[in-house]
Amino acid sequence: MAELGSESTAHTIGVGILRDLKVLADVRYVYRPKKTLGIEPREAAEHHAKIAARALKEALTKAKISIDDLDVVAFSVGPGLGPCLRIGATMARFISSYYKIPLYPVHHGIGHVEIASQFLKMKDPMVILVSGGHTSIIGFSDGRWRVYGETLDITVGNLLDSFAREAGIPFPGGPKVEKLALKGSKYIEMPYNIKGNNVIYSGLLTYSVSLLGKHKLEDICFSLQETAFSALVEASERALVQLGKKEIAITGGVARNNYLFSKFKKLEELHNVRVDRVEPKYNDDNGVQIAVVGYLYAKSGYPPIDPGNAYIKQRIRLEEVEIPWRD
Amino acid sequence: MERLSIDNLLRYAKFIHRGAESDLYELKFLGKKAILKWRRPKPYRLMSLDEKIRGERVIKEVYIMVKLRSKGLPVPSIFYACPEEGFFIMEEIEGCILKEYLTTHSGNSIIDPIATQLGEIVASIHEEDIVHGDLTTSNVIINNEGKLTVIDFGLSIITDKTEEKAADLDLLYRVLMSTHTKISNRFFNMFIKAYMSRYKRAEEVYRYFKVIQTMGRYIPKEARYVWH
Repeated sequence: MAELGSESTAHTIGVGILRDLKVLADVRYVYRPKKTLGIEPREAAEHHAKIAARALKEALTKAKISIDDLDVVAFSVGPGLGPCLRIGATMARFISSYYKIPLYPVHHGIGHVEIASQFLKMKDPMVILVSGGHTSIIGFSDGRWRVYGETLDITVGNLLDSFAREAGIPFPGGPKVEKLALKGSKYIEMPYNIKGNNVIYSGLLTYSVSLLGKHKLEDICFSLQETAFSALVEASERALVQLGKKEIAITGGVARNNYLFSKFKKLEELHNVRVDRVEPKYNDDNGVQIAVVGYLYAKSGYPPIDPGNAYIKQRIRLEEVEIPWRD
Repeated sequence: MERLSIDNLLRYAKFIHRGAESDLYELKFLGKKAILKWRRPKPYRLMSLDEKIRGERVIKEVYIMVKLRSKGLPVPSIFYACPEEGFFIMEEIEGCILKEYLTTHSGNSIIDPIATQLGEIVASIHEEDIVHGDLTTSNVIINNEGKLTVIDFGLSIITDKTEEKAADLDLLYRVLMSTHTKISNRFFNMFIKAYMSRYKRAEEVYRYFKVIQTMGRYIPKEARYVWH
């Protein structure tokens, strides 16, 4: 089965082509803001629209496959920025309706969750989804991926990027904060907020921004990461003990952060579990993760959607999505 | 006398349980049967941050228990606390976990006095502006005279917020519904009756409890309440 995935949730437009979960092509173009420090949705969508056709062509050439030979087309349905989502959806609807190929709408977060579980060959993992759009502790139960803990306000990716923006570091600021933190050594006390299995980050953002200019930037970055990540690992540990899972997959853009990953790694010995993440490029938004879920839908015999009804959903919770391929 | 360090104490203690945050040990303390609760160091946290968090949580938990105890409420008494090493020692309560007791005992004549007693205790705890935070039947012990003791104040907070108090009721309700299906309605009704009669802001809390029932997942986003 040959599957194509189209991704355009936020900054990245991506086209992934796989054959039975083997990656044949993974083309992506990332929008970089010109004037501002953060994503400007309309400008990002314009970038995606200009480049979409080229990305599709490139992916087909790389995969050495003709568009008629595709068996499944999947697109990122949400959650994300409306103007951006519409570009990837339009491309997928076009392929599906013109070439009569079954179309599947895919929850972007489930793309992150499944690319990690499939590529890491984990059967029943607890998934930590950390990105600009999510900070969720997820496990599969009773037909759906369910959220057992999450951020009650902003996401960890949001926290790092917003802090970076305030510090004058251009988007994406997260990786730069990680680098700066390596040079920091002094821990500055910061608000550590955890409620049950949930974390709360907005106070931490306000506080760390208020420290700018009063402390070394490196030390603020170090303390910010230390506080935010420790709280997240603690919340995850609580959920882990409740759920009794034996595998933990870290996925999403912030999963690339080595400091965060090293903290999660410490749970391995503590609770006798396996902790892992996929190779860095599959943690960033990409078309491959969408194609993976498209494949899983098709293989389970789930009915495809009529392209005329394939609307995007800017806000869609992970638990709203039925998962027919797991039990 | 030897210093009361965790290393010294653990040599005389028997391990009984590991939770997400802390380990429980049984030991003799000044001739009495006691429980040691140790918030183990977390290797994933920077040591200075870890020590601060564990210390603060020990102080809060012990403070809450001492306060409730001083008001004459049935919670274990504290023998010793060491925030520096993240542990404290408390009285061991003899009896049976209420969760297990309720699986083998039913009938109104047994349920009613237990539910009433629990309602009165929770009312008095809330009266002190303390919220238990993990009010399940696993955290209540019943002795052979039928007297209840509430344990595990690890997630407790000091607050006068109605919604936090309502969350206590909500958790108990959900636990009754899921684990004690047959007696849940009777138990909860008796519990609420006693709670209402004992606590002057009970009406307000109960109203909020009803609001919580309409929250949760799969309820349309527009109708969902945002928790602060």
